[in-house]
Amino acid sequence: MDKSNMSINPQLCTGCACCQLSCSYAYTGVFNPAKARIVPEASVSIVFTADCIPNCSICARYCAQGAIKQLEKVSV
Amino acid sequence: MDYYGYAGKTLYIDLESRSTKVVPLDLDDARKFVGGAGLTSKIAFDLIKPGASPLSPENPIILGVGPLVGTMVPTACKTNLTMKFPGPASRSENKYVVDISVAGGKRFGLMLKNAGYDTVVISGRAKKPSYLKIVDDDVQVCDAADLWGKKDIFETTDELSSRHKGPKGKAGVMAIGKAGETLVNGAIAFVDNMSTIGTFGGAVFGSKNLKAVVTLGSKGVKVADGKKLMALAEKLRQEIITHPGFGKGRPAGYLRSTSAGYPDDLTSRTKVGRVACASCPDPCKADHEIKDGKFTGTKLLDCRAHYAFYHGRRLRLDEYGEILMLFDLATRNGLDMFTAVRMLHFVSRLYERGIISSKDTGGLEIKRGDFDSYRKLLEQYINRQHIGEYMAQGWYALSDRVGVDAASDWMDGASIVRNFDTITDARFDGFDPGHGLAAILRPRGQLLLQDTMYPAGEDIHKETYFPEWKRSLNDVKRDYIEMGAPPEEMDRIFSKNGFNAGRLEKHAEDAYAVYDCLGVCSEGGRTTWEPVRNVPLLAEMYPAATGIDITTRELKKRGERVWNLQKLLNVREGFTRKDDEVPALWLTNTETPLKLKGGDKYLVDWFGRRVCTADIQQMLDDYYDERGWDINKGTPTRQKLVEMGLERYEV
Repeated sequence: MDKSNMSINPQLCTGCACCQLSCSYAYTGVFNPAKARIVPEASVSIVFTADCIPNCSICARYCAQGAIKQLEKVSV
Repeated sequence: MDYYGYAGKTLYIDLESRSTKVVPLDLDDARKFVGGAGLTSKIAFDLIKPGASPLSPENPIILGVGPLVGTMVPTACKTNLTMKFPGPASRSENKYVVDISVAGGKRFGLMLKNAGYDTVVISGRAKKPSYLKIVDDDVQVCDAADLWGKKDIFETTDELSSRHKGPKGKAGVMAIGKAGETLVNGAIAFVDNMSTIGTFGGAVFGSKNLKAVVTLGSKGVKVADGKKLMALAEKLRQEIITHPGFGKGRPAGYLRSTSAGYPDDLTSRTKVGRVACASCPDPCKADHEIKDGKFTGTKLLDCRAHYAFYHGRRLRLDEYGEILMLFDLATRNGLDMFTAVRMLHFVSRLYERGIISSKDTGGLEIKRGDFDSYRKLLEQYINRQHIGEYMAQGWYALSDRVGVDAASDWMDGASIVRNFDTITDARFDGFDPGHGLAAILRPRGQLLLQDTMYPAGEDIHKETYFPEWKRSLNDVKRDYIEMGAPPEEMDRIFSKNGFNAGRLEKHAEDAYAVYDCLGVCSEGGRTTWEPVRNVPLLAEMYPAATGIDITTRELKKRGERVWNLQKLLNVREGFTRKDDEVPALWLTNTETPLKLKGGDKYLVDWFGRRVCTADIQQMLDDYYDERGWDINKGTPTRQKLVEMGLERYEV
């Protein structure tokens, strides 16, 4: 998924999984990292899945470390 | 049946037969004991056989995650562990404590809940080294031949978290090291390479041939009123991330004041990455890298660098990298790092004093301040060789062997309660409720976090000392209210210029049980301010998560019930007030001062007033009176059990 509206820095990720918890809750109504559309691995990578929604920035909203930041909305 | 907040299942595994059983959660039990530590305690009461050896197959390991675990509630990630701990916890009797241990973690508790279980009971003994895999409904006892005796905790965790990785992340892992495998008394288990659990209990895992437990789940956590829970979680999250203390990490505090000649900025200087538990926006854990000296460039996981000052100085180590390396060696081998370095200090001083010789150490000549000596002695401890065999049997056995009682050896001993060395030493930290009374009252001599653990400011009537690392009386009063304690009874606990330590301790314990039952952090992500340690707020979150209505007062009462039940588990093993051992070194310090640079230091309370033995006994009297227990026996009365609805648990 192209998430060019997001700035990603895995080095700042602490592994708290708030991105996965908030994403899964927003789209399924259940807290379930396995249903999240983002896969963070602290210090290694932060990957968006193919079904991630363009312009959605819920994960950035709940990232307290600034590892995921929203830059701007992209037109789709 | 639909469960909210709870996963709704208890998993039973017998390691010997490799059989598993899944039992639906009884919601009446959940209402009565909340969850987490409450449910593990209830199951412990039903399953632990009084008098049975902690290292026998009959001693179950009971893991639990509370109803807030797996949600967005900040810090709701905790795993509880209830079992009987090796000791023995008495010099004269063969008896052992049952205790609750708790740990954070980035994946373990979160994934256990997502696999669909609130509680896991592991019993029996595997025929050969094994690990337990819990991946949703796929529960298996797996062969650990490639791990046992071959891989340390960090390597085991890396291996298993990757081996059982899911599409959206790694598995959670709770593992032991070599010290657990060799049944060393001071062994620990470690969660997700970041949190200790079951300190002094790693040997129970070892006795079961259980190297690790792995969790991964995809079932999710449903809550009753998601909108409300998210709003409450967000309120708390905002409080945390907008606080002036956000992002500051753990303070070095008093630990820095005992200068070892190390850089004052040691903690920040070596920190290379912060590590959070699941759902915690402000992590207190960190990975470090040694920046100076002969170990420059060595990276260390969760080495708790802020403890380097005190312990490094005590061992006379020139470089801070050396004490950090000893911490690391202890942890990766599954040994409690505090107990390890205290043992190293005690034994190396015995050698220096001529009480033991190289005959006792297999020819090893111990030089104080010499890293290599300590490293080799630590290896003897972990491998149970020479003097290490007695170190591995615990403080009482070691003391008997060398003819010097570590518990009362003024210069070189340790603060010991029931064979467990306390995390901190009230001679230095003060005999406040959290450091002092808690160590006497909690089964393994652990701390109990509350505001009085921070030093009193110069003016206790000041409104607040924040952001300084001090507390005013107002702060302690606010803490009391946030324990969920009754405001109308405040006058009984507090006076104009102070508080009754014994009575305050009771309420702090009840609140602590609430945190452990729900699965939130008692540090609240911080050691300097604790937004999550707030029973009134949690009393709003619990119904939003579970659909079970509750008031602050009722939730606090549930905590009290669980604390009573935990006491009964130990009363049943033969523990009474006679076992409320006050560390001998603290008693000595009531009359004999420490000779410090700033002058003589006697044992003092939170207010800095000298404490005598009678004062401590009075605090215990007040504590038992506040609990409504028998003051002389120190055990719950029948009347109290009726009030708590615990009649069936009467011992």
